[in-house]
Amino acid sequence: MTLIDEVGGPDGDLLGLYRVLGAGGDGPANDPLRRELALRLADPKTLHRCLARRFEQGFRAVVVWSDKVLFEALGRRHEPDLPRVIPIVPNLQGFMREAVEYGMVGAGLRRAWRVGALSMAGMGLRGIGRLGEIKRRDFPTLLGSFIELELADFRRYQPPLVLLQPQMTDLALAMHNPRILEAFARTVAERTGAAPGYITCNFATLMASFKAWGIEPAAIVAPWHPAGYGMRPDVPACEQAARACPAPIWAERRGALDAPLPEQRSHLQKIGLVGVVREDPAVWSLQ
Amino acid sequence: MGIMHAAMLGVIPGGRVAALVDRDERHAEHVRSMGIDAPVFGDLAACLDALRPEGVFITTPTFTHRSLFELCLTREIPAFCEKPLAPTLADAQAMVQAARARPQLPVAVGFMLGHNPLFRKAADLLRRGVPGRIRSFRAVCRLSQVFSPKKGWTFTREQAGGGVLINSGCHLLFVLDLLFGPPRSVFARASGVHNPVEDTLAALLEYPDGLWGTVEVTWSVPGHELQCHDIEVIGTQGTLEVGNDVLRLWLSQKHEEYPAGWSLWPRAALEPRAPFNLSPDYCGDEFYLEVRDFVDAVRRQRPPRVGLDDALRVQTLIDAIYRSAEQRAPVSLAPPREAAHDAD
Repeated sequence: MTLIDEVGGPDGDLLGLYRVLGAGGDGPANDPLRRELALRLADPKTLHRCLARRFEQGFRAVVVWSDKVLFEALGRRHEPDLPRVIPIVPNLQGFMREAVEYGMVGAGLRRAWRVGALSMAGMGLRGIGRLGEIKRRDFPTLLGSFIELELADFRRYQPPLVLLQPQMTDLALAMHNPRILEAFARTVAERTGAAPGYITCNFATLMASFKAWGIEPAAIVAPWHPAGYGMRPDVPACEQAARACPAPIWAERRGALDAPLPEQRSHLQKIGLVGVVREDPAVWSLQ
Repeated sequence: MGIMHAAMLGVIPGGRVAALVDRDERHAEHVRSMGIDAPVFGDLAACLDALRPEGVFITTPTFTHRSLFELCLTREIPAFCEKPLAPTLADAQAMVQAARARPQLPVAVGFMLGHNPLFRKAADLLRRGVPGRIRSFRAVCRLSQVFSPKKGWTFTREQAGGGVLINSGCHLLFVLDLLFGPPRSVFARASGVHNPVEDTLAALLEYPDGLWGTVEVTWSVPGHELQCHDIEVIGTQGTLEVGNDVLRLWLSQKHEEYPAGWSLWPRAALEPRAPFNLSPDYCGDEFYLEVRDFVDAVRRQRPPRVGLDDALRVQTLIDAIYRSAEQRAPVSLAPPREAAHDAD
């Protein structure tokens, strides 16, 4: 079974919950529609019901951040009548929010507490071999440990795909540092066996760098817009890179209110995209 | 912010980080391990003497800006200083004096919204009187960050200069200066909900010709993971709404090329756009553009787009608002300029 078979829903689409819950974008408060949705889905029982309903409608996977409400809604392990979970890691915004509230150490301890003693002990043992890098505060090593901490929350749901959050992907690009991407891919492979995918806001640049660095991504999520908004450096470069990309690509559509129009979908298919990430209010408003 | 600027230098043609400077060299080493191939210094003077870089980005806590900035200037090295300029108006004025003594040196300030074409277009529409005569505005800056007592320099008046207004709301004041110029007087109230510095602040700004507007700044409300700046302007022929991501104009009747009803411009539809974006949800284009502008200003020996005069006007307004909040009385400002900035 291919990754697309495993996670692709109606029209190949994925569900998205990471902006709906307000961890990304400019938060739900600026948009009454999203605010109402966020408040409704902040109840774990309602969220569970919504996820189950979306699964009935054919959505097989949902892209998510680490989130307390989400974990309550998902239950203790993967339920067969819910979409599979595709985590975005690391949730730096969530961590920074806790860090402002509890301090860096406090935020770290809270994460450790959530993960549990057994997982922490395992991480400690694995960390022994990387003590030098950790002591030097080597960024890729610390990132790998941070991702490992977050994946500990997700492992029980057996995610088929894990996505690196866009600021980390694009930081690696800007810094010309493939070690950041390698640390992510290695940690995902070792701790979950899931496929490592990447969210980027600089799709064409990323594909060129992947080629130069010899990295083969399992999946990509990148901005797509009928007017080319957010497609960097420009639309022709993105479309050319998409045609040449061997990995499945899903389109992220910031600010979309509804499903793509049929002509938009056929254009996406023509240039080789699998589908879109449906995080629009329309998909979450469906009863 | 230092990491953001370093990353942007990595993608700007011809840009390169020459060195990292941090009093805690371990911290600099940590940043270096992100992929910056540059030496680390624990002291700025030693770095400037050893390398003589083309320019310096000062992205340290506010209370350190003045000494680092003046050090750059005495070495005749262009500097980009993060906002706000300083904790106090006196420090900011001293920095401006130092810069005016070396007019050939490009010096920039990190008010990145000055690189957002939405605000420039809004200023242009107001200047041309498209929504008619402007009578009032409402300006809001919100962030979900402070819900309990906090520690650190950001929450210490002596080091930061204040609370949410100077740390976060200064961006909003920069935009208001761009749109309306300096006010004639201010009347403000502020409260430290969780901290000794203010967590929430409201001000009434009065301008010549009867224009007035309200400013509301807080970092203690939910729903704004990223800082928003929203301004609503009411004119005799229509209204104008502008924020980080969108500009909306509503006209009661057609004016020049603008139709009656709503016109809308998303940020992504307007040039300049950045070819690389590291912060798509919050001013990613502007972070790229402000770094590129400074690099270009240094190379061409021209003034950067957002300079010290802009920053000093913001600092003057911050100072007046704080004095008003403390005195619980209106505070007058020096006579304003005749008109707002030209919007190019």
